[in-house]
Amino acid sequence: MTSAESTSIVIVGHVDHGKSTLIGRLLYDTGNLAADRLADIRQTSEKLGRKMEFAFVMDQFREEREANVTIDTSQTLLKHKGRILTLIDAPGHKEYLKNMITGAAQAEFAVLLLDVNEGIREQTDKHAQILKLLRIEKLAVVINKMDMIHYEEKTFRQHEHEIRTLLKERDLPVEAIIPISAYEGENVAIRSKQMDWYTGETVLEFLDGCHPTRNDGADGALELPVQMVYRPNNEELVLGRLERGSLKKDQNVVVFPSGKVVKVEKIVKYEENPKIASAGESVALVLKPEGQVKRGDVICSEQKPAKGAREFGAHGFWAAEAPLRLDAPLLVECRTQSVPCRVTKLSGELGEGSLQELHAGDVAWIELRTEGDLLVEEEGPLSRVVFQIEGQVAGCGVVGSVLEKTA
Amino acid sequence: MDHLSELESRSIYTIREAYSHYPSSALLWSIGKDSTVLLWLCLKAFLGKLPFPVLHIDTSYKFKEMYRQRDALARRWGLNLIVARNDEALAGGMNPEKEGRLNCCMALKTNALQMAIRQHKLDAILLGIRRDEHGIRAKERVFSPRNFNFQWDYKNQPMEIWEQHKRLSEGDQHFRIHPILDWSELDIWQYTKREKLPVVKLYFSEAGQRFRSIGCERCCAPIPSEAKTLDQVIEELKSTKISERSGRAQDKESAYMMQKLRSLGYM
Repeated sequence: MTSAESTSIVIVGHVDHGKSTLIGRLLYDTGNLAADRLADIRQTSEKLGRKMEFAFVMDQFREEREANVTIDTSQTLLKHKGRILTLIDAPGHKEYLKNMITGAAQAEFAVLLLDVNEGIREQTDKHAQILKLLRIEKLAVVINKMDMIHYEEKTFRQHEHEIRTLLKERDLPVEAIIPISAYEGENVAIRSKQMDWYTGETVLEFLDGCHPTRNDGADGALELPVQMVYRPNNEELVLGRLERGSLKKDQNVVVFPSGKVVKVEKIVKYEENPKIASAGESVALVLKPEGQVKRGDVICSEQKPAKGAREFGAHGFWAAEAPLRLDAPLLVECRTQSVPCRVTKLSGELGEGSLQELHAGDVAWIELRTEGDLLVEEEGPLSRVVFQIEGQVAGCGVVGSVLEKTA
Repeated sequence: MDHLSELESRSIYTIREAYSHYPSSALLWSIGKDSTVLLWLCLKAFLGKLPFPVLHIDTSYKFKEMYRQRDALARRWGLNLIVARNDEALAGGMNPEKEGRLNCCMALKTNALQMAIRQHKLDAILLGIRRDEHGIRAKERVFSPRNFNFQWDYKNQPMEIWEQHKRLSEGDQHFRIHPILDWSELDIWQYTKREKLPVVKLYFSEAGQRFRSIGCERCCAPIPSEAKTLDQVIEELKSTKISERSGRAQDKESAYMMQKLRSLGYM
């Protein structure tokens, strides 16, 4: 199995538009639902006096099943055409946005779902903004519950136009807009006979076309954030994962932020000493001289020395109950780095206007001034930052521009 | 990088993050296939020398083969093994037939674990649960806090993003850390094969039956199977229509049993 075979897709959209049902239906129609799980769902549905509730595949909490609402994100595997797709269910309720983003951030692709009876609702737009922030690779929109309007094309076209306009405003390209009935299984895994006026992809065909692109950073850059220094015996082992680039035994590297140059004397893995390590690998390094690095340092290339950010702007999401105000102190974490910062500017998600504070669930442009050395990039793993307050993850952001670098 | 190497590397990253933040931690090892993979990943993360103890919650009702395997591997890998038992409950004759499965699991697993966490002052325990095992486990975070009553506040879980997580803070008793949460059952077996890890024989077919998930002898039922080798187990899983924990009685006794057990501190 190669990595290209594993792909993650998140299903988002407003509450009660049918996200969990769509996932349940996909699993059922592709033969991915175990017989005993199916029996459990049938039994619980009957007990609650309902027809077959495919949503119960994902909604496993009693509270979720009884109230018909997804509280927390969940994942399931769908095996199809020799690939394994991870389907991520995200709650559509405003109150659970932090759970939604927890799920959505693990996906490379997304399906945004809306109910044909309701059209665009508050969380439809909010979720679109979050997908944009997360830099989702490819998006399909599905317009659900077509069975309730007798599979009529006209209403679908109207919604199609509206959602296309909204996504254009949000600068979010959309690959396909699909009319479906998750409940009846129309255009989910099986092409609908009821909607012969629609000739585009089914949901499953869209999923089949989702292949993540991976950038291993073959541009000479090297980034290895240090997790810890470990001394099982007399040798000092520097533990971390290569986020970008590759590393060779005997090569010189630069330590951020000290700027010190050290030599990679050994690359160590359990019971092996590889000569080379590449992006994504967790390794241990023996560096000479010893004693030059600590947690939060970043091992960088000698040829392309990294410069820290003094001030940077990020597309951010605020999750905490307490609002985020201008000039507020925050701990910004980027991989193993953890640096105090202050908020210098808040504005709308496209950088427009100026705001005094952000509230839970807001998507915005946030500018920060660092009060220590922080290495962030405008793309790749080091573009993703998290805001911590008193030990809680209070928000997150993707760096859009480094406004000022350290000297 | 191939799929298994990617999973391995990510799990090692999580294990090292866990230990960086919480040096006072332990690995929960049941000798089953999942926590044995997790143990192996910990050995890899720390180059063969674990900086924390390995905790076995012993209900006294485990299969004999599991006890033998535990002791053999503890010697081979030089583990600091802590065996935790709820002796008081056992002395009182606790067993699943007498008190019911929920009470038995609570006393001999959950309570024994809580006693061990208190006694050894652990801030975090590493567990080998996976999302695809059970719908309730699919809702978990990688870093999952437990409150002072050891409860899982599943209705208000913290935000977790890009492998960044909340820290142990006011109101939290300890963290459950789940480094192999996104591995599938098939991944576990393919990795076990690739790494040539030792496997308890119960997982292989004997007289037309094998165990797909193992725990206490009295509460595990075998499935019909002819899979006698790792390769055959892997082939069987690729085509099965039965879920992994179908032989585990404590999941099924009543609707929402797993939710109830887990909210009260079960693994």
